[in-house]
Amino acid sequence: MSADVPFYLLAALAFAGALGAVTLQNTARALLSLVVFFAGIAGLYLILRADFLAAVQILVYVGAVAVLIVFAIVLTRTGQGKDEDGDAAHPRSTGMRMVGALAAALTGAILVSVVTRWSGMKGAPPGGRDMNAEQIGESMMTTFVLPFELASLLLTAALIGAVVIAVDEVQKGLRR
Amino acid sequence: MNELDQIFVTIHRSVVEMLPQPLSTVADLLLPASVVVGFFGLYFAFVTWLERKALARIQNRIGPNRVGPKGLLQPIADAVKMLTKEDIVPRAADRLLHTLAPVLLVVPTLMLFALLPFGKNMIPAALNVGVLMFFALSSISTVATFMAGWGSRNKYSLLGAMRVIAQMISYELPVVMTALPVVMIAGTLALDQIVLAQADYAWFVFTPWGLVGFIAFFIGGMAEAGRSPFDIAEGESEIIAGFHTEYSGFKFALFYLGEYMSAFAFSGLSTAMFLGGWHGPLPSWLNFFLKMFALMCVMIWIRGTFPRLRVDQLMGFSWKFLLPLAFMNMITAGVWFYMPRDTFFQQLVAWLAGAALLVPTFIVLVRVNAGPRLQKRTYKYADL
Repeated sequence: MSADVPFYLLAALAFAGALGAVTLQNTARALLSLVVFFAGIAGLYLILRADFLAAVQILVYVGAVAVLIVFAIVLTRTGQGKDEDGDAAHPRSTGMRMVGALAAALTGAILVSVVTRWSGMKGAPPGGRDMNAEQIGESMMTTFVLPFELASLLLTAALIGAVVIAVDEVQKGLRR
Repeated sequence: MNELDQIFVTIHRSVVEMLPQPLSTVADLLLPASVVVGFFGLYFAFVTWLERKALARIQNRIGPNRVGPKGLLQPIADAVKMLTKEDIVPRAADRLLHTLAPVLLVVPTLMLFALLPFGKNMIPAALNVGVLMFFALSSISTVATFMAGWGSRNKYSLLGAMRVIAQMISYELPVVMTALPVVMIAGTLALDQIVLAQADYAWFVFTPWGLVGFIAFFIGGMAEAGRSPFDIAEGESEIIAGFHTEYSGFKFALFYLGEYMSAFAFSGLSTAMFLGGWHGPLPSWLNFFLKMFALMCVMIWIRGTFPRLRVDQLMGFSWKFLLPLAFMNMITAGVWFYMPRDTFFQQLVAWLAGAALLVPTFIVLVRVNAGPRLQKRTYKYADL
């Protein structure tokens, strides 16, 4: 039982973070609450002995996704419809609430179906702790090489798209 | 020699074995943590003194010389001053974020030290993804900086924070890309394994890709830690100290501490990844520490030598120079890996191949990045 204490602590942390992210009115605080949630999930991965996944979780979600949202907050702060705190001044409309409820219901349905179908872990994870990163790397280069290559193609396309947008702005004289 | 080498490991083990069961687990975890925090706290105090002294000598001044012999007790006086200062929070600031930000900046930075291999068998947390975890933890400070800048409700703070974030994400890329060849060649992400792969003076810095990688990594690490000349985030003359404008007293001290700690951690990581870690003629922990200290001295020296970069120069240097060089370095490491290097002649050929890839890249990048050529100035009277 005492071995489960870290799990409950981290789960509570992640849950509190997630709750804060959707309920807090101040955008910046909501973002930081989201970061707490990400960190909690990373901790859970550590407990599950998935070190690689934990590191990637922090690197990608805290180091990149959160920073992306930071940019979104700061760059979209035009002052229209918001007070100086960056609080959402618009009361949430019924349409938005409906869309939100729909998305939550869909995600919840998927999660519930996965949890009910899961029949418990069968034995120890293959390879143990030391094989983690190696196994992921190997399966990416062998079994899942096609999805991997497709993902990199998609990222390259996104990169080129970003450059095209930026170049267009420079040519129109919007920048510089 | 071997006893001296393993002295800290022996002490640690005997203390843990001395204690009864529940206490021994706690001691096992707490002992390395407290030693690391305590030691690097003192080291921080000493380095601030050394930096002020060295910078003063570079600028033809004397530096701190009032408190203690040669001003050695100056850091303690500063600490007392910081602790007793009034803690000012701007009225419009977001109190919670403003207070939390320095803590969130320092804690992950201290956690970095748990991943460093300070000596043989002396790595506090031997994760098998040590390198990756290091970069992950050091990326948290970006969020903390945003908290500080946003929570202060000051336009200069926010501008400074945005500069930090832009700089961090720009320099994270070349740093990771120059670290990648090391992982490729050593075949592991665990830092102790990487050090073991450099035994018998096969330090990675003694290879063509390692040399270039080390220099690029060190520069990138300096930028990540926000050391001068990459400290546009605090540019006193432009944005009055940036994200920590509104901080005073102990909170400011924490920012100061965090900056130095991440500089120490990056010098430690460079040592482990390129300079052979604990390998060398002395006891292993002393080797590691001396290499780390030498790198810190180089950082101080650079700070005293170069002027602060402009924002566009800073970004251009990362994206247009370091990053392409890091990519080419990766290719060079691959070529090096597959070349035979048993005899002296084969070594020479491998070195030449590495140079053939890297030197033209360097020259082309310097050419491409050179600014517009200035016309030769002619003077009306001075040339007479």
